[in-house]
Amino acid sequence: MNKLNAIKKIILSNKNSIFIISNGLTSRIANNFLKNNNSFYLLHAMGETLSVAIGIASFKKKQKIVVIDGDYNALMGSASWHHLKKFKNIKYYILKDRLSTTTGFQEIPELCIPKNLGINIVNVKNKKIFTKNPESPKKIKTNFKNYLKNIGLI
Amino acid sequence: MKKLKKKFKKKSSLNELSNFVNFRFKKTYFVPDSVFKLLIKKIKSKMICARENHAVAMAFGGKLIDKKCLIMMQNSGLGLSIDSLIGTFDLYNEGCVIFLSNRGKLDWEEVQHKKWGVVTRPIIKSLNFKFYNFNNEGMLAVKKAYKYAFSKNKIVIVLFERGNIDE
Repeated sequence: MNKLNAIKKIILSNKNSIFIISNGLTSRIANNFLKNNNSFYLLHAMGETLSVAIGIASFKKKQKIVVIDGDYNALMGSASWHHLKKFKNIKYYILKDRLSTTTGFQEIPELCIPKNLGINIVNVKNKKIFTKNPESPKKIKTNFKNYLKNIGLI
Repeated sequence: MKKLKKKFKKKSSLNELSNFVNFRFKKTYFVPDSVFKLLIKKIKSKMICARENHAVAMAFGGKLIDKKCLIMMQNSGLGLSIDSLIGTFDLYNEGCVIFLSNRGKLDWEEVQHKKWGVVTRPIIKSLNFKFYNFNNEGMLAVKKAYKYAFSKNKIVIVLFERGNIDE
């Protein structure tokens, strides 16, 4: 499965969720081809996708939160994985292609995933997809926060 | 013989500081430091983090749902946090307050803290982050930081010296 279809499948299979999407190709694809207001697209902050979701989950324990991370971002953020035991409303997906795509397709180390944390690994193909940067941080934040207001989360 | 400075002057009671934190901030995300040892005990809603950059990202997640959170760390943690701060609060124009202990300023402190004692202020200045000095202003520094951070949507650091609060 390519990355675009993998993200589409995750979004379609997680109704009534909010999505926190990692920087790099993941955010670019999601924002350019599958844009929705219930997603927050990180543009930088490498390795922080899960931690941002934990920050939301620590106040909103009933809201379903889906994290879509690239495998290199996941590796960088792995010091936060242990929180997944506590926050059962976070569903964590790692798109695994073992490449740092937007920096030139460098091969990255294999992830060692603990089995008891419920982390979902989705293998994706190493297909080159060139996409522009997501929309501006201001637009991303405004759209997301408006969505949260509309559903009564803030 | 040069007399060694043991610590800086106490500037606030723990109760006054912890009351402000408990009243104004919904949660504190922190990496422990001995300067904040007793303060951390008095904070009601808190979460320990593995790394300082993750504490920043968690506080940013909280801010996305309009919860004002405090971040607390040692000055060395600033080194780990810069990218996270720039990629979250700075980029998306949100405010936050960071309590930062300025380790390495006193003669007797261990060698591993010394460099951070020298570079902390220049680093904060080079990042163009607003900062208030608890050693000069005490509780007023915290109150000013809170007001500035959340009215201007800026990253604000409050710098604590050893001895400014009970450890």
